[in-house]
Amino acid sequence: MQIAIGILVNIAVFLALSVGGGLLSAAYMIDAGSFLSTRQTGPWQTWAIAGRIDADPYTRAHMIRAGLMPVTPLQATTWRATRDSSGRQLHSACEYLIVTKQFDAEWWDLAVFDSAGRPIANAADRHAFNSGTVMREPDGSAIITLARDARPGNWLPTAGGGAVTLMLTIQDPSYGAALDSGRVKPLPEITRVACP
Amino acid sequence: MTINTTMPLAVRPTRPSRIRERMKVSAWLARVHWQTMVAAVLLGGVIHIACTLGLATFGRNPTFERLRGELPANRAVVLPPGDARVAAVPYLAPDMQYAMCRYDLSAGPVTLQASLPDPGWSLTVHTPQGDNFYAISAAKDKPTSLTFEITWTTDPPVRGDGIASDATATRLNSPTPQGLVIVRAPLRGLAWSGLIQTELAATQCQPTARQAPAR
Repeated sequence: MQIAIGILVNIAVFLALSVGGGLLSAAYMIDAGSFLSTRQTGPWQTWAIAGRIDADPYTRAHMIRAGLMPVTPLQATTWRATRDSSGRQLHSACEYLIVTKQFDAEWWDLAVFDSAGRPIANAADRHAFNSGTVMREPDGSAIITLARDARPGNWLPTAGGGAVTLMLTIQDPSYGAALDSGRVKPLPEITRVACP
Repeated sequence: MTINTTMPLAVRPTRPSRIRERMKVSAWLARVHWQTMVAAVLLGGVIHIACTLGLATFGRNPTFERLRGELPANRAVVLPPGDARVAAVPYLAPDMQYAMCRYDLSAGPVTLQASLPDPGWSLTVHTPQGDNFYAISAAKDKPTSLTFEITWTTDPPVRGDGIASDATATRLNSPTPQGLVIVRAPLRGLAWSGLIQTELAATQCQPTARQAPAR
């Protein structure tokens, strides 16, 4: 009896550790990424070689699992943020400021999505700003407010989105080259202003 | 006996039943051989690698599978703002307008014509798995016009970074017989929507016309 229990315990531990550990670690590395496949600057994360035909298996698996059609980083770098600069989850109930100071990309686009990557429906039908549509301050910077209710200036509505994701697309060869060489250029901070 | 929650855990009295449970679990775990642990970690590593490689090699991109049924083959389609086919692609910038062409090279090459008139415009060509094997953005100072033939060959078409190995090439070798061309045009405001739609409508994607052999 004791021997049988011992064998059963060994089998249970073996299966839990091998199957559970193997599947969970693969899912984590594919969904969240790691230092092997992603780069991080502040709250922004990018899959460093997403879209390239010689991308590593984790990056390729991530693209397929998420259903993405990414642009190769030398043409455009795509950064996603699910947390603010203090590391707290971005949520539609809170208000955030994004200031593009010392951000000199040739062309950029900042869009807000729900956690599944869909635009958040809102009465203003506004989901993004780009370097051509954003209103600028006298010094050339831009202040974008992410909030549920209307705000003056560059307001991006987040009504009822729950957890939100910001996506910053940059078309500027210098940003792609910097990423390629491992030197990531600074990106705008995401500051939480208020949260009920 | 009352339990004071401000007491440190170490001196807090523990219920006898909980102690018995812990002893049971630790007695069970003591029966696990180190060989079992090593074998489990090794098999876990094999499962991890098999899952990752399997998905990366044989996985199908659900976005392309959805668009396969919704976009006609070898024809450029301009998608109006808010179109469901745009929303089908996760994280596709919503302040842009798009033209897409799902190409199928099984019957022969396809000729693609497009122009990228302003900064922010770009053209990307993807495999059904989502790999972006060719990409070009609008030049900063002048409009960019493109005409090239997409063919299917097993030769490596471009460098790994998605840049054509021959920048003046008029032929683009696709690594797969099917794929998707996306032309992205940033919307500078609603007033520009009509103009951008007209410019996107100039995108052409059609089977290459072959000249009849001379007699």
